[in-house]
Amino acid sequence: MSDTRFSKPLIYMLIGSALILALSLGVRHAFGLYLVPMSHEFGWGHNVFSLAIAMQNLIWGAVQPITGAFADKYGSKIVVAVGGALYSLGLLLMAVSSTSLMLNLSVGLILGLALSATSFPILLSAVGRAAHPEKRSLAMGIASAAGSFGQFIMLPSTLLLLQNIGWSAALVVNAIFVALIIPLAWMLKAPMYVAPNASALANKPALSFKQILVLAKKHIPFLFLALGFFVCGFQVVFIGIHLPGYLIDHGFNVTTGTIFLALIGLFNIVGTYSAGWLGGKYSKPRLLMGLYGLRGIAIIAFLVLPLSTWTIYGFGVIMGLLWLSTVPLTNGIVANMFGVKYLSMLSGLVFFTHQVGSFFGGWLGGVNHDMTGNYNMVWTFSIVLSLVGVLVHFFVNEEAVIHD
Amino acid sequence: MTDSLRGLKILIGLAVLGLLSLAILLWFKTPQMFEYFNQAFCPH
Repeated sequence: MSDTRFSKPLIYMLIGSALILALSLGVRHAFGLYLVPMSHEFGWGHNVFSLAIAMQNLIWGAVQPITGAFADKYGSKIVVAVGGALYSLGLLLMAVSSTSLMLNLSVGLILGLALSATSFPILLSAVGRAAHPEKRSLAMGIASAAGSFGQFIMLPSTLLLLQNIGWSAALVVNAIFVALIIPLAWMLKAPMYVAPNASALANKPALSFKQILVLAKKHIPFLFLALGFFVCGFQVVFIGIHLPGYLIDHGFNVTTGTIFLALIGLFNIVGTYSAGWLGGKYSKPRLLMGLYGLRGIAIIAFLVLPLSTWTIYGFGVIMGLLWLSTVPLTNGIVANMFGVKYLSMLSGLVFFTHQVGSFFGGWLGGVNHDMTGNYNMVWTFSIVLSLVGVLVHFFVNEEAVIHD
Repeated sequence: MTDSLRGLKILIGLAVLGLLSLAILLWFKTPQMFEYFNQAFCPH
């Protein structure tokens, strides 16, 4: 029987991945706070900054499979280190951006590329490769929880920096923080886990990138898994961006809204860790079915129950628990299906659909509000999408397509 | 489990608790966070 405990090199790698994800996702999560001061200083409409952020999200999603393929071929260490350098450069350029062109270059292009090299698909794949299959989900959950923690701590930190030293200096401070990703990347050096029966499989010829892509394209459960991640992106971004407006529409004050945002952040840490832990014990597709189902029930309850401070806080706690808990489960399923050799690229492909969902969640929320003065249609669509999430994961299984 | 590994785990646990407490304190110091979100994202 093989030893499933975390080895020392894996613990070392987990610490590195956790710190990198906390820095990368934490700094990214606070980008929205720069919209108001930058737009005010340069006399931009909100559309200038919003376009740069939308570009960033699309570039991040579109290049993620390519960055993942580089990580699979040349190693996560080098890709993350280059990503850290780009991230720092992008923030410094953003700090001196005074035109929409410079903003699109820094926020849109450079930071979009940097995020694709320093976020979940690359780091979770690195951790997933080094962990024993039985502990892979837990390891991914720990790293994901660190990313969630980064989001929770960087949001108020960035706001305090903005208020005390101004937006440009705050960006320089953040650039120094993310530059730490470069040395931290050298912690990603745990060897790939090798199963005791690996010698029996070693004689099988390895598949090429092209062959694995063809295989993934034809594997229906993989396509359903990607569709499920679209639902996640849509719901998270719609609620994250438009719930403040919904609460204002219903006459709630700033404190209630701030506590709501904090509760989502805090319980997101608990949710991602717990999802990773549960994923090591139970079927991940079934857990995802439950998760999307609970999201739908929570949204229905939120809309049907009389709106009060306590229902808002309750919704914050439940949505926080369900927020990024899809991430370790979804990436864990990809690893079980196709093994770990091309995990970064395949996780990147699934992540692309998440980003497309994010784009539509943010955009359609605004369109709905502009046209009708409320969010009813998109709330209803979110509930329907929860059902879609439950349904598609019913057809997802973790059965290995490739054994490695 | 070796002593060094147990020590590392305790150290990580304490660091996480400390950072979590710091993060909660920072949220208490930024009650106007929601206002920034609202101005930034919402069509009002």
